[in-house]
Amino acid sequence: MNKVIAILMLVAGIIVVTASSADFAYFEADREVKIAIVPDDLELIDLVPMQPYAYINDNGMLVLDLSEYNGNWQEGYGMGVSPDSIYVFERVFGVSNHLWENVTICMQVSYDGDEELTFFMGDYTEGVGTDELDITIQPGEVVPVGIIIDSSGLVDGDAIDGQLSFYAELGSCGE
Amino acid sequence: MMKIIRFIPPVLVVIMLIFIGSYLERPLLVVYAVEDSVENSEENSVGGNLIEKPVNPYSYRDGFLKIDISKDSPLYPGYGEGLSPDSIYVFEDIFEIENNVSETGADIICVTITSDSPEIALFINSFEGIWFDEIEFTVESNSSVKVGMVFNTGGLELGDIYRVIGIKAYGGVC
Repeated sequence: MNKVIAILMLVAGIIVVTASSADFAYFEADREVKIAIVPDDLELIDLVPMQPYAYINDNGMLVLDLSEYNGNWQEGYGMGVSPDSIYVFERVFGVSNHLWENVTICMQVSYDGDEELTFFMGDYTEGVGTDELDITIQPGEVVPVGIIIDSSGLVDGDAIDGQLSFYAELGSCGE
Repeated sequence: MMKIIRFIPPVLVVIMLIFIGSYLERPLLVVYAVEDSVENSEENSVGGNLIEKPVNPYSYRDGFLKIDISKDSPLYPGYGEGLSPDSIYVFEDIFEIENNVSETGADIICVTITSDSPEIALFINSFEGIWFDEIEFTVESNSSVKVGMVFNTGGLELGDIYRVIGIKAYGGVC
């Protein structure tokens, strides 16, 4: 009888060694990722038009348009900016922080294109415009951004065309 | 779908209880070799739940790991309905892969995560400006690795998109 138990022990020992190395042999599965593609003014870090010069186009993207092609333009309205002028528009659009995890972000607004376009936060004061505007946005906060258009050197019929870029990072600006 | 269940005869279990009781604190062994398919994920979630650890708010467990950035997520806070077109969003720590030895029984596991979609790329730990279609990493015993994701919505139209990532793991070093 002792012999039988000894053999069983041996077998049991072998099984346990095999078993402990095979607990987690292999796993494979696909996992679903669902993302809603939504307009700029509804996303996690939204861009919200605050003046008729800014609007959300059919692709859901914020557009700044100071011409008769703007959907908000009507007959009799101004059709653009004049040469050799500096136009200041306060609160053209707002950038907001609607991330779900309630964190502060630093957003940089910049412009790449014709002529000079500069930005400022809130109300305009002399010399406030910068071509790379850093904005600290607290959770749930909307920060209004104004733009300054310098048309000096342009002649009638010229157009200013360019691209706005928005880049945000976790944390307050300047950290 | 193929399922292999390792079976230990009851006689041997009794003997192991007597002589080597500590080994039996572990659950009995179930080894999965499963076809990857979203439809049968409910069934093959057991192996995944050993290692997949959702990190709120952009992923959660609904039987198994789900990543959801839309109003349909149970964690949707009432604002921020998704991502806009022509944007790149980088999220660190969307979910984690952990190796809890009492559950996996493996001192080290090798994990591969793959994205076949151009809209989704992956990285581990902190974001350092690089992302990949496929990441492979080892997870030491009782530790976890953070998985981050890059979403590139360039050229996409408004509406919900559904994509998948593939997760594979086995006991051992990569």
